[in-house]
Amino acid sequence: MSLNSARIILFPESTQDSLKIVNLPHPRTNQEYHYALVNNEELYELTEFDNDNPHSKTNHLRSLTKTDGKPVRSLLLENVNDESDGLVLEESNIIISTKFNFTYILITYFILQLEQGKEFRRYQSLEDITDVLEESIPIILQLPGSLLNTSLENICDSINENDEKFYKFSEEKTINYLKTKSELISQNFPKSIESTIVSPLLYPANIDEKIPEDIKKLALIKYSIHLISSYLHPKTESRLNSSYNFESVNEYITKIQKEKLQKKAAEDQIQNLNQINAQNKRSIGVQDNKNRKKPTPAKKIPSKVIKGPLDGFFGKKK
Amino acid sequence: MAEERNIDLQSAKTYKVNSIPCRIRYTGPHSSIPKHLIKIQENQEIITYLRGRKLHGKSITNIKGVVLAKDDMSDEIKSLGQVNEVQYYEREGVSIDQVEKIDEFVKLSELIHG
Amino acid sequence: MSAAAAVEEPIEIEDYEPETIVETSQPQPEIQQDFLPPSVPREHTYKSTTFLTPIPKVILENPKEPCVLGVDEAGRGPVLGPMVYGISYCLKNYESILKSKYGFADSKTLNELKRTNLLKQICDQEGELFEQIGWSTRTMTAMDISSGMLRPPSVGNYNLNEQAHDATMDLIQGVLDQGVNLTEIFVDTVGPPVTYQAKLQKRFPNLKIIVAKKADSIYPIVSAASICAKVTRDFSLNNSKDQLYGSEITWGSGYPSDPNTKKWLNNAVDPIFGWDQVVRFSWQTAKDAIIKNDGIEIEWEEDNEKDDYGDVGKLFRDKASQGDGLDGLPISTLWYGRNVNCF
Repeated sequence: MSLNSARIILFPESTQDSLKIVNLPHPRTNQEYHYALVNNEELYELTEFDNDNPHSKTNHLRSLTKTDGKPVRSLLLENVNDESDGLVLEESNIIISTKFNFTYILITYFILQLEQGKEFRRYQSLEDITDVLEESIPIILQLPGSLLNTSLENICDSINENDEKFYKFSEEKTINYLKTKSELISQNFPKSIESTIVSPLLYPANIDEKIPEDIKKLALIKYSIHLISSYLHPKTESRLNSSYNFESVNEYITKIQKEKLQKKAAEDQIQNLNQINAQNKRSIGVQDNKNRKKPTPAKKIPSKVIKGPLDGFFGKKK
Repeated sequence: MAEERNIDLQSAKTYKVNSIPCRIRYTGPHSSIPKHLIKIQENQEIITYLRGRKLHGKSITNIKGVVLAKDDMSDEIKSLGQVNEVQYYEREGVSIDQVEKIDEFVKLSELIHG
Repeated sequence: MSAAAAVEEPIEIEDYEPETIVETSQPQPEIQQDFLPPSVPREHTYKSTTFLTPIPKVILENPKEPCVLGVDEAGRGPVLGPMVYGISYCLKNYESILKSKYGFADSKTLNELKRTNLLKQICDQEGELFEQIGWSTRTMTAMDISSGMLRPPSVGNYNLNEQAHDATMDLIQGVLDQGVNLTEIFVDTVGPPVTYQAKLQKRFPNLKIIVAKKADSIYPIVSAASICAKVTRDFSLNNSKDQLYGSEITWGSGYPSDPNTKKWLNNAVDPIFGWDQVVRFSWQTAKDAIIKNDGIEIEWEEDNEKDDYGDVGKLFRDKASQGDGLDGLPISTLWYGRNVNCF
């Protein structure tokens, strides 16, 4: 048994009688990854946690080992019933499993079909759909039918005929499904992302002012779409985005950024002048006029005219 | 990857996993971890020491985990035991963010996939 | 070798002289089984402890009389066991009696046995010393010493001198808080007296502070403090040994050059953990012993000091690593983690 491959996978507290690792194509990237099929009925996504967060500005400061750039972390396992049975595992990334909605894989499949010009006119049986899907997603045969059933219900129109159900993919239903989810996420938006990424983007230049409620709401929906797009093909993502109008948010952010730049430039100029005044005051005892510094013009504000009347007045920095 | 076979989860072994903020260049058994990793409960956290460094940690218990490994010979994935607790440690003075992050991710997942 | 490794004992950062007194092969102090100083924790503990006597009778009866206080330490250099700071105080006009009658500050007659005896007398409720001398000790465990010196760079390390100074100031404050009329403080030091005296003077502006090398042989009250510290340490160390390893084990004085200590240190090294909590892992001796005895290499974050060179991790990231498609998003589940392909 090779302990070098040993990994810890955490499931929510519930019974697992059987567990199978299956490979599925990622709904956004099509790359194959491990998923867990539990009790032959539920599908779980497997996410490994380490400190590597490419969306974080301070990601490059995270601790890594010198020779091989690995996380500075390891695991010590204690057998709760036998003190002499312990394991040391150098590899430390713990895998968290969370329920995975197969609908996302189906959405990618159908949207790509749409992109290729296919039209969905006919209603099809579960069996027929499975047959077609099998070509692109062979693993589907190993998955319980209920999984496919539930997913189709979410994104298809259906009709009953002779006690059998027939499905037809509906783009409208799909987009509505995704919109509902996006809005739900925005109302329960992850705090760490909101405070680190979204809010700083929206804060006005003047700290006493508040972020307008409607802008905040819309911005959170925008970012919720980004989050859910982790599971959407870019084509699906763009269709989802098109169903909203984010103009007001984009304009607001641009306006805020401009105001912040202007504010910083003004503050830099004041600081500059203060420094020079202080230096000049210090060198007042010295007769040498060469020590006197001339004030430097602060960084130019991009939107203003390049050559202004004051440019000649303030000398160049030495 | 080997054919997807059901992994037998029946195991007499249950482990507590300690995640420690250092890289130990060794993977293998150890026969006296509890004796050496003395833990002291302090409010909501656990204090321990490793080679003189003070560590503080938080416990995750509402989980049912499994230790999986690949068999060298058969390439089959096997269970080495279950996991009923994870204790996540950081160096003293460093805040323990990972536990909350896991929580946050689980909640977000429920919204996305529910 | 990280910065933490260089900071060890007296040989370090500030302008302190290297400690030349490395006591070789000290005889194991004679521990009298019937006497356990009240300053020694009964159960071996990882936690640093403070002991403070109530104000002695004679001082209580003469609250306006000036008192003098001495400060000394024991166990700065050893790689095993606690470092103990001791303070001792008495009426100013009693101090000379300490030397003439009892032999404090008489380096010719003081030995292990005599020291233990003197502390015993200080603790003897029937005796004169008990009524005249108040004392206090701060026992700083090996774990606290090590962990302070080995803090991650982001937190900033708490070196031995700072720990020592804080302990001293806390002990003095403890006696002041009791309401004792302290007027003069005498402190033994190993490093340059001037800077330390200024620091203490700043903290206690109303007291006269003298910091001197070998103060324990000049001022009897410092000698008393020295005895409190030394005997407390010796008993503490022995207590820990007995409780952790049994009384048959011998590990010497705990000084790195003591052959018994060296032998013990090199004998029972766990490849991952090293030893129990009595060892000062921040000492170079301990670090070397782990390496010498085939200890497993353990890397901490400070072993790879980060300069802001950008994402070096990118160089090492797997081909199979996720990124295409997700890290292009302004935010994605990569914020939390990534999918796996490990089996």
